[in-house]
Amino acid sequence: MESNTQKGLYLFRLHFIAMMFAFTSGMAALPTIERGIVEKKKWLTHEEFWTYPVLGQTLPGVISVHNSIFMGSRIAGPFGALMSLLGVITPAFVCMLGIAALFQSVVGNTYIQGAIRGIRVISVVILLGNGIRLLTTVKKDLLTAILVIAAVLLPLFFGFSSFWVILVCGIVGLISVFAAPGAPGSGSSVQTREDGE
Amino acid sequence: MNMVLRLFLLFLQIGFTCFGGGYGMMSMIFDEGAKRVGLTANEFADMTALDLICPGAVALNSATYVGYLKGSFPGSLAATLGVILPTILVSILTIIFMKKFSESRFVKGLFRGIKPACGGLLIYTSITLALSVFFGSESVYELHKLVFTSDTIALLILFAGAFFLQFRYKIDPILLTVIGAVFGLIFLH
Repeated sequence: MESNTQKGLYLFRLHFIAMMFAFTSGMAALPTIERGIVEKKKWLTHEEFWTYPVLGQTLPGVISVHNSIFMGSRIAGPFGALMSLLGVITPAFVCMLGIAALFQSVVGNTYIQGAIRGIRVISVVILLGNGIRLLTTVKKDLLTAILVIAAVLLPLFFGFSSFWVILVCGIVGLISVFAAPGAPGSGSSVQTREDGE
Repeated sequence: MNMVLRLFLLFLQIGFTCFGGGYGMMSMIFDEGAKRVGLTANEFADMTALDLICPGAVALNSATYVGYLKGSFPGSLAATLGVILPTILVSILTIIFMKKFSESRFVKGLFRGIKPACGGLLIYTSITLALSVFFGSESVYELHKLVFTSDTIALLILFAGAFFLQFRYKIDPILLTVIGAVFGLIFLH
């Protein structure tokens, strides 16, 4: 049986390596981390492992950081959480510092500027794609349509800050759920206790 | 206020209010970043592209990049700390109150409203970014003074092509970024 210190160090190494190869987003590191924690070390089952990323998505903040703290503390207590956290943060921070510095030094070259303009167009495509993909996972009804249209138009034409849009839409969502207590399927399925009636 | 402190507070607020990870934060980095630390649309566009190339979580990459741009090394450290502190706090609270928290009707209701809002905000952000990238205009109210050059047409062709490739063939975003860079190198310098 390994001590928490050994487990913590392994978690640091695992997260660090997985994150180093996770381009595009932190979620890309999950398969590597799963291989280490579930298949190799058998510290968690497959089902236990995947509850964390799902949970992380429902919370405010950085999903990979949530994951690392949940898994780390479950496996090796506070030290495990700390080491996993450091393993997640370090690659992103160090690599981005290097890339940012490099980017600043080549930005004057006209060919590089052309390439950057091309890349900026791709940024628009990727952002738009993420927005559309997010909306395909949302329940399609009148309330959703109103919220989406408001979230596009209010900042675009009336200068509303996205902070207020998120806040107000969150409150509207709360009202919609709490104002309809009898409504079937409005989140009440979780409330019904299936274990022992 | 000192820039390092401003970066810290900006990302602290973003870390507390944004759901859905890095891409949920984009709209707020875009408009709050413009107001509070002077992040331009072009700098933002560079950030989203570099996020893809750089290893690690998008939220952490973005914080590091904006921090470095506006406040060099201390700025990048402050922004990163700002964005992770709320996450750490929320994680610890969740571990303490576990299940109840994530399956409560409160969180469900909050999500019912926030998810569509985040989607809408991403579309708003891409429209504003597109205006800046294609026409160099800063808001929709400058649309009447649009300038069409041969460059604009090349940019629009690239946009249409990339959009098609992404949705029709689900092409890898990194490859898409490389295509954009090569296209720009040849047609846009």
